[in-house]
Amino acid sequence: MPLRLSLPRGFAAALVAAASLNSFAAIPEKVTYDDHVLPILQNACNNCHNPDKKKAGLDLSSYGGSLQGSDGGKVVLPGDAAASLLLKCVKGTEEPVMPPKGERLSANDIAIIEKWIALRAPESLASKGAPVANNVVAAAVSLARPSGPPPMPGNLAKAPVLETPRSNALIALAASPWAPVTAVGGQKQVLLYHSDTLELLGILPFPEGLPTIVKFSRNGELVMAGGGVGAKSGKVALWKIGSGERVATVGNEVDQVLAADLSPDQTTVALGGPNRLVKFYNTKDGSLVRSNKKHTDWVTAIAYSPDGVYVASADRAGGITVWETATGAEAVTLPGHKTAVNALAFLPGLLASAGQDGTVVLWDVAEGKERKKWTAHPGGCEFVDFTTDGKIVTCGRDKLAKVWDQTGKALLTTQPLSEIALRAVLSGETVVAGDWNGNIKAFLLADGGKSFGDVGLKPSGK
Amino acid sequence: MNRRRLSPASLSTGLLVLLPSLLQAAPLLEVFPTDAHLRHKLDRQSFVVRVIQDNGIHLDVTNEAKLTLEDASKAVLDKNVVTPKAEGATRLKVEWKGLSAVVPVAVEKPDLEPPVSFKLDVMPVFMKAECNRCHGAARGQDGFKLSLWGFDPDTDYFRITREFPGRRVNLAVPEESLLLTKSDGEAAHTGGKKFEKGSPLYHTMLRWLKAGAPEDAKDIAKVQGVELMPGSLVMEGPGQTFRMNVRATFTDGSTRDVTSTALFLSNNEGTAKVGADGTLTTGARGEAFVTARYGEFTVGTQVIVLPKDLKFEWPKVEERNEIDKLVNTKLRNLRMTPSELCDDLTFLRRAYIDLTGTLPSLERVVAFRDSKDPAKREKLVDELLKQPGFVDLWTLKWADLLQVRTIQNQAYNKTIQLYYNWIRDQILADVPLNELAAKLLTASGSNMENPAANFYSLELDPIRVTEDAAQAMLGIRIQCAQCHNHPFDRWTMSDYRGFMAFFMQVGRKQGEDPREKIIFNAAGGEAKHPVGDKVVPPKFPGAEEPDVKGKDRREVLAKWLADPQNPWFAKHMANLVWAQLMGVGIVSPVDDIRISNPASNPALLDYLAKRMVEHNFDIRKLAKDICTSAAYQRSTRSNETNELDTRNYAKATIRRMRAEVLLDAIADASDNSAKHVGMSQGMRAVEIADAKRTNYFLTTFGRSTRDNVCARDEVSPTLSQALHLLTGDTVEGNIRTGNLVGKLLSSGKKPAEVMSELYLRAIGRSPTQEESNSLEALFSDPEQSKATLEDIQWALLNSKEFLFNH
Repeated sequence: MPLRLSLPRGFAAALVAAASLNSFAAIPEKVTYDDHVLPILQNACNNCHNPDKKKAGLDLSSYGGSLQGSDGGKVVLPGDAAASLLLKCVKGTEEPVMPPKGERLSANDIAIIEKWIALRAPESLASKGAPVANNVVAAAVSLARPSGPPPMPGNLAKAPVLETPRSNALIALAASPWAPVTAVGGQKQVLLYHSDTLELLGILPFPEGLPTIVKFSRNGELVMAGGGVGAKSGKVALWKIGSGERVATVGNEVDQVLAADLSPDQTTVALGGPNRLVKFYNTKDGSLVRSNKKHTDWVTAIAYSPDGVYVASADRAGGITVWETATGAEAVTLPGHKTAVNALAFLPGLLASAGQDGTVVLWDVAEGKERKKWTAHPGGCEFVDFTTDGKIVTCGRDKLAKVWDQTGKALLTTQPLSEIALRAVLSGETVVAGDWNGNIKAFLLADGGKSFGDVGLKPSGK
Repeated sequence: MNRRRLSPASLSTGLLVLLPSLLQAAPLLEVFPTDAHLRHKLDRQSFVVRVIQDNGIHLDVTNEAKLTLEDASKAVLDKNVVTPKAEGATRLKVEWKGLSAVVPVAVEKPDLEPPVSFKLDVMPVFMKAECNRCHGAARGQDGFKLSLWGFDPDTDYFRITREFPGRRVNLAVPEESLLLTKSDGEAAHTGGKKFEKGSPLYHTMLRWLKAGAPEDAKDIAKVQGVELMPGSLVMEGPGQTFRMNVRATFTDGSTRDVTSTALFLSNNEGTAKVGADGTLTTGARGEAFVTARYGEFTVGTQVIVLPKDLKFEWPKVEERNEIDKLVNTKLRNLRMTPSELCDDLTFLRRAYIDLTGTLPSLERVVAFRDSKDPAKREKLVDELLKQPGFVDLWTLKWADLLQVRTIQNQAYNKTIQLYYNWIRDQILADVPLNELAAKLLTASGSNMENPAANFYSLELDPIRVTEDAAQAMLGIRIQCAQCHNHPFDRWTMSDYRGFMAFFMQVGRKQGEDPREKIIFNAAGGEAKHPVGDKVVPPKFPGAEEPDVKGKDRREVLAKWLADPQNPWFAKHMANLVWAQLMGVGIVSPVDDIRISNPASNPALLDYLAKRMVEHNFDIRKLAKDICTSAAYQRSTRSNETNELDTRNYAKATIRRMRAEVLLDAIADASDNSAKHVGMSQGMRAVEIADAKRTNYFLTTFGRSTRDNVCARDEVSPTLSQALHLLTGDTVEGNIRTGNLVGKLLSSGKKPAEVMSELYLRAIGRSPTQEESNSLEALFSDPEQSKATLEDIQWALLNSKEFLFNH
């Protein structure tokens, strides 16, 4: 049966209904922040009252923030709904009437908030299971190939989380640095394929939404996916590739995560998105370590250097900033792209950026200088990746995927894909590239760019 | 009997609609639109049924009328909407209280489900939901940009589907596309919820996403015109409703009911509010203009709302010609009684100032006052039209339009004077206005030998030439469309570049004389569209692309402009003449003809344009039509019903004399021969060719600087004007130099006679009994006669009655 990068609709509806209790007609017995109030706030309030924007100093996206209140004082007085500013504003009985634009809250939603405050504003249902404990083991940073057999998926579940009649654009793709494994972002799931046989090896569920980015840890032991639901929520998840066990879920974003990377020592996830911040989360306890405000537009790409010394982030306005991992201080900014930077890739000391201007730029990070720049894909270079041996893989709006050496010499140009080529990676001898139609093709590096198979469409391989 | 009547809104002119007169003998039933053509499965057509009652009030009887299909096997009727069933034709019968109408319904391919189109189906959703209101900003909104008013659907398509792949559309799970979840309130959206999940707008968008967000075929039909029905409404009392109907026609000849996707706006919500579905609700008494926007088109309807059960009786009003009929039709709809005709002396002074820019002489006032000839007003108009003042005045107006002024290192005294003289020669020789315009547009050669060529030497930038030509000759401000489709009009960027293309091949070179410029046809140069950088071939605004191969493009343009069939030129010129004589244009300001600035009386403007053509573009003949109408000769005094009127000519408009005319009037009333800087003794202020010629009085009183085409002369009052008249040297200087009082006294006239003459000269009438009584008391001391009389003269020249034409 052909496997598409998505899920059946009936299933999706059931899944959504299970995940959120947003649509009920009656008010439940016990109302809590996590279960009932947060979904309302997410839709109506958190575009402005989130930890990043914090209009009037108010953050309604977390239980703590909601109780803490705004610059003007508490907005929730547990037990006294009538006196709580939050209720008065959404009811419209006191200025400022909230939300300021768009539809007011429904009577049902207001009643839920009222009851929640009256019940002394409980956080979550007591019966609710403890949150998934993050369980990431710190890794030793090494630039060499890890000893032992390359980390491959074990006996993982292969049943699709969701199947749909049509594919979406392929926007999340990664190759394991050491093993013949390619990870593909689908609808609410990450699919793992064997890079040589194109066989489906396993499926990692990502019910948090659409993965916008997938990556492998430096040692190849972990798979990372970031994404979420647009204008609603954003998360990053980590799995052990061998067992498929989810070992961490970090981030409490109010919009999709658009860019993320795991530090080589596996202690930190850096993520970014439309809120323009680069945020660092601890993979051990999920806490927010740092939040860097520097970018002037959506953060589109984040990459750690393999030695873990630097982390670079880029935005939609063409800005690239390199941060020191140890201190979080800004190391250097790299001006050069006038329009959006679409992707970043790191080798020790050497950063590659792919721009909407069609170019690939190689940067000497220590010097903060451009080392090499060439037009890789006229119309826009969508993606860039390094292989562990220093080759560069790119693709772009010319529908092509290419492999280069560091002097900018093309080693391979694939046959054109069916649409804009959005992601391309090199896994061993296989170039895997996917396009806007969601078609993913595999090419042999040695074979002059001729396709030998379709990933996902023929999961059984050649 | 078939009582259907053609929908009055004409596509090409948009709003030029004859308001139905109140004189309906019997109620009239109408159905909009007058036919239905259902071309495929998803096609639908809604109908509106209007009754015009015998008292002239319109009712929406769509709900009350009985609608039936003659052959129910061909189409399905649900309330007022027909949808297709089987191929063929039938008729929709509409009945209401004994009145009836029949509308043909044709059904074609009822089983065909057409593919969803981005441009025809999805783009209107952005308009209707007003997405581009925020996202159409120059830098977009919250990271997402759409084109303003959807002028650039190709780029919008790109931005939605491919600018940021994975973000805005999810073709695997279309329901989860951010494009939808932001719009239906599912996800946080700064602009709030724009439409309901499951609404028709939602479904259109979802259908397109489910189809894989396809791009339209290159040759897809485009919207060609939009019609808003009914074309005009007269309603009574607040809280009344009327549903509007919008139909679009496409380049493939098809039509479509777009009522549900058109965007409705009212320019006066207090009088007529319009809902998203096109249902209008009346409010307070007044006039409103309701527009519907669909695609690149905006069309409008005039709505009059009257108080409920207003007691009004139309009196017997003199109608001298067609102008009066048309003005009165509107006044009757508004329930306004026109003011009475003004007296002879008021008319005399008014006609002199309007037609010649001068005051009537003492002798003329006396003769006119005493004449018993019943045709004396008409004869006066004939006489004034032959006077040189008429030529001066219209030369001045054209000099304003053509921005005749010196520009440092570019336009010199010599060339400007030649240009001015050339214009004056044209007016003097009665050159028809369309020929005059054609001469300017096609002018080639030396600007000293052929002064018309200054049209191209005063302005070098093709962008400015384009905009100035559109505004001066067509009354259209096309400026907005340089960078985006005009937000309040029909002009698109393509229209702009198409018009500009006519001026892209004007060559200019320096003559031997440093002041001389030679204009020639360079036969090369193109206008490029800012979106896509494509060459735009010459295209007449709102009309076709002519064949310009091997021709001077300006010749082609001039031919189109001068053609009596031209939809813009005659109307604009007629409005200019009307505004000069009546004080306010039917379209006002006169150089801002646009959908959202509608004519106050479209039928009148149409008629005047028609007369302009019949008169072969002769200003004099049209001026005579206007000046001999009762509408022109009304008193400025208002009555109970027309107090608030400013735009419908129920009474005469009071206006200050323009700067040049006023300056001449002060000199004339003082019997002084003025000397203006750079002019010979006795030359009049209206004859100053160069708008940059220093003259404190003219500058203070707001003469046009002619720096841009819309800098019309400004007659609003300022403190400096009042102070200058009171204490400045203009009034005082003219009294002193003219020494009128001295001359009259020394000729042996008595102070009372002198006073009377001062009155007649300045304000065209004798002092009233009351004025005489109080002023003559001042003449007791003969020693002081001169000083007293000069004080009276000073007071007269400072009076509103003098400064204003009334």
